[in-house]
Amino acid sequence: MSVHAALFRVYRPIIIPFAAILITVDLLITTLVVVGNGEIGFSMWLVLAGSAAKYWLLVVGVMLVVMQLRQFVANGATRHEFMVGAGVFGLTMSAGFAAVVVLGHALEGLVLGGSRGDGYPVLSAAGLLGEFGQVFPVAAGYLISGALIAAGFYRWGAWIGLAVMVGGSIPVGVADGLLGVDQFGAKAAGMPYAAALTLSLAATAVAAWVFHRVVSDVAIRRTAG
Amino acid sequence: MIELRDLTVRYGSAVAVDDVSLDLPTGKIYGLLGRNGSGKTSLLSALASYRRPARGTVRFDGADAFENPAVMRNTCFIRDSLDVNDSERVRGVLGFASWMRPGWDAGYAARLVEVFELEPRRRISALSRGQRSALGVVLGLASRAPLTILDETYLGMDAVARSNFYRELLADYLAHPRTIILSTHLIEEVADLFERVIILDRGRVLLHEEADELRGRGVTVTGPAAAVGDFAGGRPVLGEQSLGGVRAVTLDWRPDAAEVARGEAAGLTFGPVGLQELFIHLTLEAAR
Repeated sequence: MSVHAALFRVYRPIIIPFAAILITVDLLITTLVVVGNGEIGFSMWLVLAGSAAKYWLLVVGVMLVVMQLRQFVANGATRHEFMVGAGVFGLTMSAGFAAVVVLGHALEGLVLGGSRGDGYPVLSAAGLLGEFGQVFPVAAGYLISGALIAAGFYRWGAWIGLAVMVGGSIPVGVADGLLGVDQFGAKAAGMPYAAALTLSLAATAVAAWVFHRVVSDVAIRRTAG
Repeated sequence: MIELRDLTVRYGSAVAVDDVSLDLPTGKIYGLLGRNGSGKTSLLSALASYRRPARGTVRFDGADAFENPAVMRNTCFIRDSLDVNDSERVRGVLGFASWMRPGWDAGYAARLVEVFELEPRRRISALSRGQRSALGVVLGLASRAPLTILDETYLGMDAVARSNFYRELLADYLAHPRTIILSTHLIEEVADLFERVIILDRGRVLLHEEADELRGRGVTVTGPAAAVGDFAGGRPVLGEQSLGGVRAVTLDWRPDAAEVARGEAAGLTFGPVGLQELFIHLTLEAAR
């Protein structure tokens, strides 16, 4: 079985309950706000699912290094094979989460209908791709940041790991700062989308290259499971 | 053939494996022996590509081993600490190995789980030290990897489990010949399994010999104390025991037929020497 296929099987039992909890919490809170207020002036889905697309993927990036790298190498995969598989898995997860955020946002707008308050970020059909184009690079940035930060600690321990953490957080800072989406929709980036996307992807690509260099010959350590 | 050339493994300024060169013909059971800190695990880590050597190479049939997919897929390295996540269950660990290991034998794994009385639903964190070792044995044997490395896999196992381990190892090796490297401190228990023995001492190879040659290298002479003393005079003594007027001396020396006949005429009996005694003698001698 390929590394990415195995990773999907490993994470499947985590993703499904996580999605169920996310949807339940969103429905519950949104219903409470609408019942209490009569309307909702922001997108609860963007708050919850938008945060999940970032922070959960950050955690997945960390777990890939701390838990899965050793597991795969111990079962006959090379570090390079693991990184390629983790890359396919990570990009698919990032795209999947971004798609869920955007489609959920559109669905939420439709379901709320007249309960949408003034500040609610209504998403048109034409806006679907645009919002995906913002959420996806941010999600990918968080994932690679988590992986690089974890790789720094895994390879060099605490002190150099802290230094790597500073560099490792650059994709998050650039992507979130330039392309971030909050509860009111897209944040103002202060620069054209194409430039913001280019900078974000460049920061993520550089971090991915550094990650590859850090992990390509790292010693397989005994880590806490 | 597995070739190690000028292999050096360092941890900062500490040298764990020092310029080791070895040729290991495949299809044999190797015993890797050494005192604590002699570099056994570091050598095995380099052999299994868990660690890139500071210097030197590991080659399998002429191909560089490090990050070589064909080589790594055919290598199974079971460390004493077991490379699994504590939050997983036994069946999850075995399931994962079945996805990744091309030679995985699920039926054999299930049988070994029964032999070692492992509970498939139990989490790794809930396993005792011996049960973790038994899981390592299941992973190592059921993988049927052409190079299987078991690093102190017996830790925490009781006598029954260890006996099951040795029996299963030998039976599976005979049914599916492959290269197996066993690192152990329980030398006498496993000695009969070894076909070749490698002794490491402070990062260097002290000895690499066929096990049979090693066993024939010394002799245990037992008999009346005076006769044993006369016979052993001037020979290198590995160890000795006395009980009443009977003395047994282990010598690092192989007597020829005439000398054996002379000894037997003096009431002496001759027996083989244990690997453990040889190991102790050789490593102590090296330390001196």
